[in-house]
Amino acid sequence: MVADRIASGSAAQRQLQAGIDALADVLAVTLGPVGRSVVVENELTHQPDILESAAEIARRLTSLSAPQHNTGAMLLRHVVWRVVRQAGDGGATAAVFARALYREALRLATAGLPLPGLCAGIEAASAAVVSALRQQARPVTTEDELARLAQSLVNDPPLATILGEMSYLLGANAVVAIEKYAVPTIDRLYVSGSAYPAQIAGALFYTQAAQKRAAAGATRVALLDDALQTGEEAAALLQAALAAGAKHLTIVTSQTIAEKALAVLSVNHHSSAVPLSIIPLRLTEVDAARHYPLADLALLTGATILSAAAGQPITRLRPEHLGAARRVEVTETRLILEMPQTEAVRQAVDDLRAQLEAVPAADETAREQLQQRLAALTGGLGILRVGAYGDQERAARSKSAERALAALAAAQRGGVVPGGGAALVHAGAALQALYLPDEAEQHGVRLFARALAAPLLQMLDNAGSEAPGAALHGLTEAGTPAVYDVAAGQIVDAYASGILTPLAVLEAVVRIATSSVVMALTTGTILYHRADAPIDHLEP
Amino acid sequence: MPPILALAQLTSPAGVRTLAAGPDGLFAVADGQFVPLAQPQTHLYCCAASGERLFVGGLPHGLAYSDDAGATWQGCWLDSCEAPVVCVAPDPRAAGVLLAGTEGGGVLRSSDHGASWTVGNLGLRSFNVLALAWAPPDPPTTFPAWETAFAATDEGVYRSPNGGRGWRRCAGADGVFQALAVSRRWPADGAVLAGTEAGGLFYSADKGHHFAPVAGAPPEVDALAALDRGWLLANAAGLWFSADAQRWTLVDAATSALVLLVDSAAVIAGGEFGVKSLDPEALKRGGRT
Repeated sequence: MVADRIASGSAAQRQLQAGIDALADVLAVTLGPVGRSVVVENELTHQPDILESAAEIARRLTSLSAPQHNTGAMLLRHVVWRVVRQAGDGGATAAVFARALYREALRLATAGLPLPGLCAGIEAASAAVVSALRQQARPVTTEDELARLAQSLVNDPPLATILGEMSYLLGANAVVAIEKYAVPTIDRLYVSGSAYPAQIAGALFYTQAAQKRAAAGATRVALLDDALQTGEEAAALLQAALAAGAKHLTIVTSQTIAEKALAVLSVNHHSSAVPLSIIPLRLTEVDAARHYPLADLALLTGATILSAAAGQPITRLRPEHLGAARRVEVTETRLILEMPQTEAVRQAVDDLRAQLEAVPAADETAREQLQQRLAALTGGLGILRVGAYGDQERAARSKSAERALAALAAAQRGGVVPGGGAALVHAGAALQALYLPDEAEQHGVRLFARALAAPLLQMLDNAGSEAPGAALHGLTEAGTPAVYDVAAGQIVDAYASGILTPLAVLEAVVRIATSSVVMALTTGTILYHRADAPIDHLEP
Repeated sequence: MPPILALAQLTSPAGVRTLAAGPDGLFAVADGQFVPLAQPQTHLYCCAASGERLFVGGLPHGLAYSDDAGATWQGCWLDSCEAPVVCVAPDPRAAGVLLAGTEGGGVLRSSDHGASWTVGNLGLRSFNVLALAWAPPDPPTTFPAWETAFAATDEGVYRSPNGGRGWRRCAGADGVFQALAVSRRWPADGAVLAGTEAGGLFYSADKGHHFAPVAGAPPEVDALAALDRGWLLANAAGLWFSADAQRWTLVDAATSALVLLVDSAAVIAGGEFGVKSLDPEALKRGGRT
């Protein structure tokens, strides 16, 4: 039987604080270059998993044993998860900052300052800090800058180099597929051209049978929205290609290719009578309306989509209905077409980028679909092959790479700021100029400024620093773009040392932590379900 | 003298031989003599050497190689690329890695001494690649360490940080580019020159991320070369020298080269006049050779 438990007023706040502290204590040790790992028991295998990512640790922690601490812990867990999903990194920073902010605010509220005023001051300070962070931001564009930023995220030089390279070549909207690699190294390859999931109609059409790959130079392209069913239809395609003077013909259908049609294509493939090489294939991922990706392929190649329903059956095909590509490649799972980018394609790319900007960060499905279309239209896809000496290490490296790629993309879009908690400290200087007439609101601003130093102080604590106060003071005096190099134990230039953080990460930390802390502060009552004492015997 | 469009130096047990290629075929150059070598291309566009392996690019075979100084030849497998190869650049740091530029097929990359090639066109807008150049290797302790290469195309200059696997367009370099040279002091100065058919010379001091036109340079650039201290530029007017890539002096009006090759002792120039060997120190002094 489950009983309800109600906590109100100061009891509720104390329980929230205990829960927030419990989770923050676990995550805080991972913060910074000298962060520690956390060992978590795997629920399935009951083996210990060694985790370094705050997001991964938070994801595994679904409840605490003391139910009265659960609400606070889950609130903080949600903060961490939202920050990482939005920006790719910053989970531990968000946890430490949110804890500090909540503690400071609760202390003042307990001392009698009115809560509405405190919260208003906190929110005003949050907006000012975000603005100050933006003023510190600089663009990051070269492969060097991106690799150094990647190194600060993954602490793995070979992986960081390749991530920097991929981010540089593929851009802010990079689509990168991460695959397992059999050998314990990292490698990458690039798909140049527009890539779509597809399957070749028969092994006969491979040009490299052992590699299950077909490739050809300049090719004419036929796009079919109908099944290719008869020999007559196949012959019409071949005749149109020959009339167009083609040496290679690629037939792309969103449906099936029947045996009769395939037989005609097989007989005529590379025959002496028909000097034409043929690559017939079927698209394997087509949307419900069968609009995508045929419409994009038509835009790219200039082909007319052949469909009886649209009044353009295959048998009435003419040479001008065929599109063109500079090169075609078909693997076991993919069609890749290379062709020059026309003005129409550039316009479609601009439209897609605008749509992508408008999609909320939380709508991952929509974002992924638009990014895939964008990658295909702009002609570039990266494949990262991650290897390691063990499955756990490979899985950890893969997840680390995935998060870092998201953070690098955010950095390319929004720029970078000094890392190591320094940008938050420097942004605190903006709060000194922020004056609010209401006393409680002004206290809210001041407590926000104090909380901004929490991530830096936590990093120094993790590194065993003996004079964190002195380091903080020195950093504040030096101003932006100074950072504290924990490994070297000195203040250095962020851009020269490569100790940087994407602006989007800190913006997400400040905004999401503020919103959640204000919600926690204004919580009057907690109602939670608590199980009775565990059953240690069964009634017959 | 046969007109010369490409030069290469082939290493063999007998020593280093200079080879020259042009519309009249492939020649071994020694003591001013041109000894024709049989090769399989009917239209020969370029030659290159990587160790003891000799390459010829053109039509109808795209790219072919010989391991016995041209006595016998084999065709290279070009990943179904049917375009003629017009330039080849061996990687100075990695044995067996080469890049080839084609007319209409983009860039090909080999990691097995040129026996097989894969197309690497990610990022390229134009597939007419007229020249390729590698940057000297970064010191081994550098992080991150890159394998930087440059490609000159008929619509701009591109740079690759990963040995030709992918490309990104360099800012500020628009036009038909046909010549490239990378500074020999690349880790320190990151300098690159790119020359156009008639649109002048462009210079980058940030490892090729941004180029700017060089106001004091000749408008036509047929060939470029980097010396230990300075640069050479060749066009129809002759051979030009600059210590800083900004101010240029005509140092040899008789050498209107189409190709320049710098080795340890000399600068070898090829053109309508055949092949000449020039003293780099004399060129730097601005004197005639």
